[in-house]
Amino acid sequence: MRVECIGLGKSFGSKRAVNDLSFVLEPGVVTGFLGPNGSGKSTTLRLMLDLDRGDGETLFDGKPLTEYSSISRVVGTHLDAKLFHPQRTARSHLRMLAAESRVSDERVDEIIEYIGLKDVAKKRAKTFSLGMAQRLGLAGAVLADPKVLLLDEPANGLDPATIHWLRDFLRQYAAMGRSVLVSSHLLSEMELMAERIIVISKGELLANESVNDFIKRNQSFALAVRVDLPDSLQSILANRGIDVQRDGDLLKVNMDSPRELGNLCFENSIRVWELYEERGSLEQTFLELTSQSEEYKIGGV
Amino acid sequence: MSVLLYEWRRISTLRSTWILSGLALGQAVLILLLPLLLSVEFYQSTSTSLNDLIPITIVPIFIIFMSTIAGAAFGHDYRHGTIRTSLSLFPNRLELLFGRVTLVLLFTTFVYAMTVFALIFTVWAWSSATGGFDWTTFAPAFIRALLYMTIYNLGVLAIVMLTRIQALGIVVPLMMTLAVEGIVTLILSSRYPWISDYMPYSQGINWAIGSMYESTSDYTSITSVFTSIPLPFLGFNVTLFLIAIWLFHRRDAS
Repeated sequence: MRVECIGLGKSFGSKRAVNDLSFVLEPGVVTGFLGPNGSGKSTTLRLMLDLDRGDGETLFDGKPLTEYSSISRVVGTHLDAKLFHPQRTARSHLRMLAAESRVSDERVDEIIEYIGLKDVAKKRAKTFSLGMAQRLGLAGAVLADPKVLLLDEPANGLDPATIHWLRDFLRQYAAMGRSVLVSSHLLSEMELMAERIIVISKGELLANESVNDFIKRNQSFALAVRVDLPDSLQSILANRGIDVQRDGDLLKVNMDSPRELGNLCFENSIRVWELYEERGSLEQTFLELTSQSEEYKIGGV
Repeated sequence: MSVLLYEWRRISTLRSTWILSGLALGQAVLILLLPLLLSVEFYQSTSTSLNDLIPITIVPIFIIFMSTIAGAAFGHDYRHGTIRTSLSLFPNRLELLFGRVTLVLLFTTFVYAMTVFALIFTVWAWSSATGGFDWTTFAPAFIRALLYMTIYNLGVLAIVMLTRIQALGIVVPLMMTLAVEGIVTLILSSRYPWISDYMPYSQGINWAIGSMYESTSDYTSITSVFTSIPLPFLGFNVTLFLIAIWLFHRRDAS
């Protein structure tokens, strides 16, 4: 299902939390939703679901959510780890959610087992750790097998094994033609999980592209090479008008193709000891991009 | 209607719902049973009608338990943030609102009916009163108490929706009934002698209980019950509820 957000906007008093935000979630893709604290991510998710009243609209295959009869088969949400009544058991909570789209009790039990909550299914949710609460939230989101998943910080509090499971699960879920939007602060995890990212800051859209394009766009040098004659290679590259930066015997070169650089060294009888792509990280790129627009800056250490 | 099933599972999976319902029924039976066991004359007199015994034990304390259940309908959702869960499942807010209000009112009506049956059984089992049980005179009293509870609970629901605080929904109507309106009347009645006629909760409780002590009094038909609802009580709570609907529809779910 294609999700189209058109001109989303929201003000809290005089503060504009989200401003004219438009983007599209395509089916079959896990999209990461990034932004510094207070950038408007959660507000955007709430606007998409019409939980917050604001400007703009969100269309699910061209229709607003209110035009669908069974909402939880259209969109599954997990907006907060602790969105349950503490006195209610995990199974009762899921059965309650299941009522909206008449999901069977068998499916509830199946999800409970799948998500690893079988042993605590009849325990009150107030006894749950953050990780268990996150699992319960995820179980609720996927209960009716929705076509769209909107998840706000689903990996918070999860142990490494469960994060790994979550990553695989979301990629598989998207591979079945579903749209997945995941907001997270775990940038290294997002780099592995998402194919596309949407970056916002102060409620404004900063980027909406594939993870690779996002990283490359903000990266000066693509290749790093260590050779026996760095002076020679540096002058050869400079003569060809290619940007190069020297760090001892390591050269950082602004070229896209390792093969082309390797051939160039071979043609000039330069021995290559090491050649690799200088890949920037999502975290590094994200920090550079948002450093100017971060609202609640933290002091240096 | 999936919203009613959702609401039923929401209300029925909370321990507090059943504890409050049990307490409401239990206290009513106990209040009736104690004078029966102590052989208080009125309760054991052969001339006393069963109609006289049953209604007087219902309203005053029973309504507190029922209003707590009503207040929890939205109160729990606001306190625990689960209003976002509810509204992301039912983005048509009026659907959720009317589903919730309907189910809460149906549930409190059910508890009320069960309590009345328990009281009838208690009288039948323990009392020597043989004045008989006459449904034609009992029905108006039964419906009057039910209407009072329903209107009162609409006010409770409205206050919780407006303030997003469950405790206020329970305490404010109670304080209005027990203290505030009495004090206001006391202070202003010398200057405005008509003021007591416009105190909504005082009017409501007088209508519900006052005549219950005299089950064969003015309200002898069901029609007379509906036409006798005090307008200040009805108007205040319905107006409050309409404002709450408007605000619930407009504002953020947080």
